[in-house]
Amino acid sequence: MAKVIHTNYLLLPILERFNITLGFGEKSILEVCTDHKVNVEFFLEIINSFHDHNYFPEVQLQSFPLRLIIQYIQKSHNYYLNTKIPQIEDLIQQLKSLYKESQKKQIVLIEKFFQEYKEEIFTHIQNEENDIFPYILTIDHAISQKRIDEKIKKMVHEKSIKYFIDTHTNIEDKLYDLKNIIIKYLSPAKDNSISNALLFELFRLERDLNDHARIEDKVLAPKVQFLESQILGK
Amino acid sequence: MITSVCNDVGFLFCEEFNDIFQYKQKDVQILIVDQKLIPDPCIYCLDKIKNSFSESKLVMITDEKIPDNVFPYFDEIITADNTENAILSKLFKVYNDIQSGGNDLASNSQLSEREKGILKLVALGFTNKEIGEKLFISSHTVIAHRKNITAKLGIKTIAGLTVYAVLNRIISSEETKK
Repeated sequence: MAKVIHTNYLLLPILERFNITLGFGEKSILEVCTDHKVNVEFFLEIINSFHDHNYFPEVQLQSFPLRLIIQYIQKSHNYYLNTKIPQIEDLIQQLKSLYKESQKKQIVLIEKFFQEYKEEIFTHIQNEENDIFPYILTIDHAISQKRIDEKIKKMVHEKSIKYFIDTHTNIEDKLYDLKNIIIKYLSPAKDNSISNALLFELFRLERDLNDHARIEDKVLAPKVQFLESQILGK
Repeated sequence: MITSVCNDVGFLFCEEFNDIFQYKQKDVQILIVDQKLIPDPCIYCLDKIKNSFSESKLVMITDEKIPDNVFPYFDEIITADNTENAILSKLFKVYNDIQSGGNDLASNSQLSEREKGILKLVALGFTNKEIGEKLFISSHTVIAHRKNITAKLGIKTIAGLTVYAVLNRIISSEETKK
């Protein structure tokens, strides 16, 4: 397992999402996963698709139980809300302290922009966690129990996953804009260290969110669409 | 109206187009031109103004549709259908540009005046259709301009464009709060 991190340290937050803590000694991936009660196949597919962007085994990933996929997505949500976003907010505050009074309002603009962005992510995540995921788990349960009644069919008609596909674009665009504003248009601070740190975090967040969106759009959504078509008997 | 923008201001009036040139560049910070006073060929006269007053801010007042090739000559264009507030904010902007010396590190020179005008309206929250109506162009043209703006700046969202517009003093942060 230690080798995994030496190969790509960007995988560290992914390990965290599986509740895998550091200090694995000489243990293999399988041993560590067993210790932490992690599905090792799922873990491998996720880290591989994260590590190598050309590797994206849609079909294999779709073969994992929905509960597992959703659990992983929820863990990533926690990571964005509780780690990444506060980190970026903190860096924006640090950046603000580098500017003299007359230029501070530039950073206030950035601050406000990020605040809006944060609210968008927050709404997006809340919508998934409070509405979409419970819906998915309900229809998944109905199918496994072979209890498909009119109530479930009505629910599928009303909620269908297709309404949820394609809500990622605006979130990606805003992040892209923010990077460009900082790179191209903000007056430079006394030194670059904080702006650089901030940009690193934004690039990392962007990459992570893209991977995240890919799993939602290419793995979760088609899987749910398949279940929906089963329920509606198509 | 102008005195509400800045009170330390002096006025010089000209009734005839050629009278403008009796004044020296250093005495004229803002030149407000009535379109009716510009003789034909218009572009030739505008070139002449631009050459004599290259350091001044140029504002045009008009109640007609303005050809696209006239836009780049002016820092602001005031039209007959502008509200008092709109006119004030345009004059404010021109005045602020002079005050700030126009030497921002983040220069916005890469956008054309027309693009800046559109960017401003986008940042103020107008739709493509509304912008088209204000500027007497079709909403398709507005969309084409917006594509160019996004390509030049690398900024896609309205919120992002608004931040850019404020950073570059195309609009003031007070205006965005409306």
